[in-house]
Amino acid sequence: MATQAAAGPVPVAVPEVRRASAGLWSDAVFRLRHDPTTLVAMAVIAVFVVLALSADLLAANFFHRAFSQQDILSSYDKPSGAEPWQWLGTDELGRSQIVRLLYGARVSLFIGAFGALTAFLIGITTGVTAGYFRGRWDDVVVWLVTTLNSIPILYLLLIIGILWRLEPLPFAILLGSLGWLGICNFSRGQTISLREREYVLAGRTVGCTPLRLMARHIAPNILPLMIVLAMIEVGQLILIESAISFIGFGIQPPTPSWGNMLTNAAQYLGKAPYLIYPPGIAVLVTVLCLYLVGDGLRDALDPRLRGSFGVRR
Amino acid sequence: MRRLVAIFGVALLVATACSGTANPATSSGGPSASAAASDTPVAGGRIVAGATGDPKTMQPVISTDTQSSFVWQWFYLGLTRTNYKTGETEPSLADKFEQSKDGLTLTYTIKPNLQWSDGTPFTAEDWRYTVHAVARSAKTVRKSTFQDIVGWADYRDGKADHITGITVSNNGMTLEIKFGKVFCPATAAMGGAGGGILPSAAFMKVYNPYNTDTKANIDDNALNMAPPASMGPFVFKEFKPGIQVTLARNDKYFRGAPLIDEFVIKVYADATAIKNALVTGEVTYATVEAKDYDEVNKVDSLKGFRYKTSTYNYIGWNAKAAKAPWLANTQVRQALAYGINVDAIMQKIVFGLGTQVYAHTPPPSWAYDESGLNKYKYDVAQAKKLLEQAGAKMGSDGVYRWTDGSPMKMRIETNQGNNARETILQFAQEQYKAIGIQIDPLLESFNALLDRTDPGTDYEGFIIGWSLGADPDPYSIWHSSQTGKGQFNDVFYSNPVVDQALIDNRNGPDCSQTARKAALHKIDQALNNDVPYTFLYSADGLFFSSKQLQNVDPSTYSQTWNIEKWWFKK
Amino acid sequence: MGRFIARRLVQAIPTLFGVLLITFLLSRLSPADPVKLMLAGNSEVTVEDREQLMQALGLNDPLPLQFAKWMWQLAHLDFGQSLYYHRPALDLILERLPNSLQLSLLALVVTVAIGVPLGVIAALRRGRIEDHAIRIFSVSGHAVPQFWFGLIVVLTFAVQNRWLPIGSMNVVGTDCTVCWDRVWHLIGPVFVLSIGGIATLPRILRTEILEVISQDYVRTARSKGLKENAVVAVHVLRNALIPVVTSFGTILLVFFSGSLIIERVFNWPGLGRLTFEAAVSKDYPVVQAGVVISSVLLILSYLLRDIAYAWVDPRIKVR
Repeated sequence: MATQAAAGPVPVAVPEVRRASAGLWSDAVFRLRHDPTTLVAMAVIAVFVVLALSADLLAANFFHRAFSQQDILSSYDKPSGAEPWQWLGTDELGRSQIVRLLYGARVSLFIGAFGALTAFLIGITTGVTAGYFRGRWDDVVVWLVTTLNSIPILYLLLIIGILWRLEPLPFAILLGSLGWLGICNFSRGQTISLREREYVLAGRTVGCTPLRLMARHIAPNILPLMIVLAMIEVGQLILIESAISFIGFGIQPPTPSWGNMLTNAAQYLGKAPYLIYPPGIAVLVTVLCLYLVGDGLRDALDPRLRGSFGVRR
Repeated sequence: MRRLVAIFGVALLVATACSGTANPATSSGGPSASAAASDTPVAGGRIVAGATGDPKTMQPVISTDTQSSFVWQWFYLGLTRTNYKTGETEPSLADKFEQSKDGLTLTYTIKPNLQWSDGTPFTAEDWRYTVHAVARSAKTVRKSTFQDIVGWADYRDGKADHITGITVSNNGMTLEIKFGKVFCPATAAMGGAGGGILPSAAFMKVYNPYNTDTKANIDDNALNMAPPASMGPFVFKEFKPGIQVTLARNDKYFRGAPLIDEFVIKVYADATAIKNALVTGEVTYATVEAKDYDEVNKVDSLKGFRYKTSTYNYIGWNAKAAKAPWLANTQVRQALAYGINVDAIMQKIVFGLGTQVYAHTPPPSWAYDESGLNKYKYDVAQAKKLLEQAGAKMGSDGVYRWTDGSPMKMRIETNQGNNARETILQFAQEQYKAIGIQIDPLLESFNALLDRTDPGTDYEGFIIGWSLGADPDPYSIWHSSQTGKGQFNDVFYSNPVVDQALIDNRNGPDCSQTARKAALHKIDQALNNDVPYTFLYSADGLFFSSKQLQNVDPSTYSQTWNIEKWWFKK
Repeated sequence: MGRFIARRLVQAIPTLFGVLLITFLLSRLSPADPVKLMLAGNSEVTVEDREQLMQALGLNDPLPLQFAKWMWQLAHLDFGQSLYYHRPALDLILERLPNSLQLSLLALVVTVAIGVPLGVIAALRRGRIEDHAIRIFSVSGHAVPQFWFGLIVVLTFAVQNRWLPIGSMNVVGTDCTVCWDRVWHLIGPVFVLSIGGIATLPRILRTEILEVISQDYVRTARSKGLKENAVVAVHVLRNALIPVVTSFGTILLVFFSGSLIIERVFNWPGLGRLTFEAAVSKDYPVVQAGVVISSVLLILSYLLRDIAYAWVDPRIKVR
């Protein structure tokens, strides 16, 4: 999802979107042009994504440091301008913080984006089918959503953390498969109202299969808003990753993620207080921008929906 | 009694007396050691110490963790104690202790007129009761201490209703222990009764050990969490789970009632929180980690103490590792010793607040002697040379291939929450990469680590530490017989010379310090050459207390030995 | 009303069932050895012991039977023994529960006390600088990693300036619940915990107020010549607040999850810290009990929320 947002301040991605919603999108672009906050937020995310993607390149050619490269004799160096790799100082093993921050961006954004993609796929599939078919299946989906909504997510992750040891990819999928509730709820509600519309009824009378109806007539209509929700989900998952890392069950070092960098920094508050700020600010800014973009996009797509979702953590 | 160092709670690294044993030589170097003598002590006030968790139990027989011993050590004492500075065994509840000429009989004379805090007299019966409770406990780890007492096994297995080798006479004032064979560390080891002595009158009500019923034991009863009486400086007052344990002054304490009214053990989330609480004055005293030393040292309201400790950290190499057969090869282990820059660890992870070690015997011990030991100075070329001599071939990916063709890849694990070890693990990973060995780091909880490294084949390298008693008896760590489940030779070290020296040191018959020192040096030399561990360092104890607190004098074997004399200067 | 409550109670049963099922399945599907999960780390297990334990724990039974047995145990409030403390897991949790509730409820009060005025201001001054400021604050409140924020609060207000305590609920020696000392200890955790709520509430309220304000009866009230303040207070706010009650569910969920972290950062002796510490020492029965109990509490508070909602908005019963 993050890469989509990274298409640039002006969403040139518009032509790729289905014809069915083209009007909606061009309308949205118009509104977005008058929303500087959202544009700036988009630009910031774009920059973060580009930096994360070019982490290898930058590390090798500009910083001349690998993320795991240690230089224990220059540990706890305060941030300095002497060499690029020292810009944010070094940690207890003399590793360059700025390089780790870049790679951390990669891991955190990957987990956020991939998790949100999972959540998006599960959420929209269950939501649309439940809303369309109603009946038993709907009951099951609603039950599942209510159930998962009744377990505080960090507690659930704690249990999972005890029982399994997770690598970034399974971790992202896991987070996604716990984070689809909002998307499911929303797409289900939309589908319920859409399925009674004339054009859907018309489709049904001419003998369209349910699959075709859902895929061609219902999903495209709710897709834009779901994309917005998924984008906000990216932000939430980045937060959850940092929280679960803080309690020690997230991505394990030496692979850096913003979460485990923060956790590590918390151990050295006395010795190297400057370590705690960059990863925290990185999370704050990224998530803030994702929310602002989501917020702005949603307003642009449908101003009536302003403020109509809560945030789950 | 040896114990793996958990170092979860900084404040808890405090020695807990370790029921240790004999003898001299430790330095205590701190900014200011003794208090202003001119002021007259005033009574009153409260000491707050920090812990990182609730005590599991407040009863020594079944206690295995530092959180617990930090509580019960204030109630249950031994017949003897380890001198806080020299490590020598000195009288405590017993006035005298004598070993017969043949070394097979040990006699203690109890101090007269001792009283528990509830008014019942203290006698040798209390000691006898405690040892019987140990013998039948299913949860204790202290049985091996007493196994050489005559009649031990029969009683343990339910064939007798008491241990025949223990006799109490003279109105409970004399205790005589008979051994099946000479046991050099006996004096100190027996005195502690494997932790502390329980009040038998109170505990008899919940458990009577004098029968042949091996099913009943002292492991589960209400008194374990509510100590009924105390011989120590404080009595149990209140336990608020997750918040604190409160202790009150014991007016009957035989060294004199403490000047302090209350001693509170407050629970914090982690070591960093305790350090913060020390800095802000919420906590009266604590030991801190090396990385926090500079910061805490700058705080005006605190005074600091630094002393050597009877501990060391190491990387163990499992010679029976299924996935790393090369660890059985001495040259490979020597390469691993040359391949890690311990100097850098000393400088940047320990910040110079410790002593590098090259073998088992820890620096403060009377048996410490580093003469003739190889220092394994960091040398990548030498490490690679040794690997090649052992038969390893460099692969195209920069990782050595062992003689069977498999790449030299292995795990090193350590416990989460121990900062220095986590850092050393990541450091070792990079260092060993440079000598062509690939490391997969693994972090787990301390309990899980102990569990995983229970002698077996499914672990390769592990970073952990030993906290050793004052009397050097490394038998259970290095003897080739000690490789069963639950035993401590988890690297499967086996060397006939060492085996013999271990027995000489333990069972004599010459128990003189000279003879034992020679045996121990033989062991150290062999370990230094065979490097079953990569020996790292012995960290210094870093103790800080409020400047107002007077008479504080912590050292290697005890930080709170004179707590009854501590007082707050206004 | 009684029937409504009864119906909602019945509806909560499948949810509770779902929570238990998930918790149960997680432990059985994991690669971790269930016998090891039920035994302390350092105990020795021989083959016979293991077989005996598998029997005793019913691990040889088919999964559905195991699940039924487990539920039967829970129905008798038997959550198993803590591996670490050798005490019933439920006792450990009940000891800490009041402390956690104190924190969460207070955070809820603070959320309402600060969130409602902010929401009103945002709505009445929409499009102006105040509205934008509140929006930015809301979004930042959601975006800030809670524990990081907590750590910085501790570093700044407790360590560097000694304005707040490092931890626990009372100064040693003071033992009171309603007193300045307790308030002093609550400031940090409540502040950080309620940030998430304060960020959520104003935005929802703003939307609702804007909706209500354009309704006919408000126009009527205005045309009657009522003062603007009176209109807002009596007519707008009262009606706008009704849907806000629904958001309490979300906010409570945030608080429950957050307590796991906040209690650790501020050394608060609650359910969250207990569960966390149990997780670190692999004390599985306690973690399991912690998850189940916190979920039950959450289900209960959803129930309370719905009842409150039905109470303030009679239409809900008809639906």
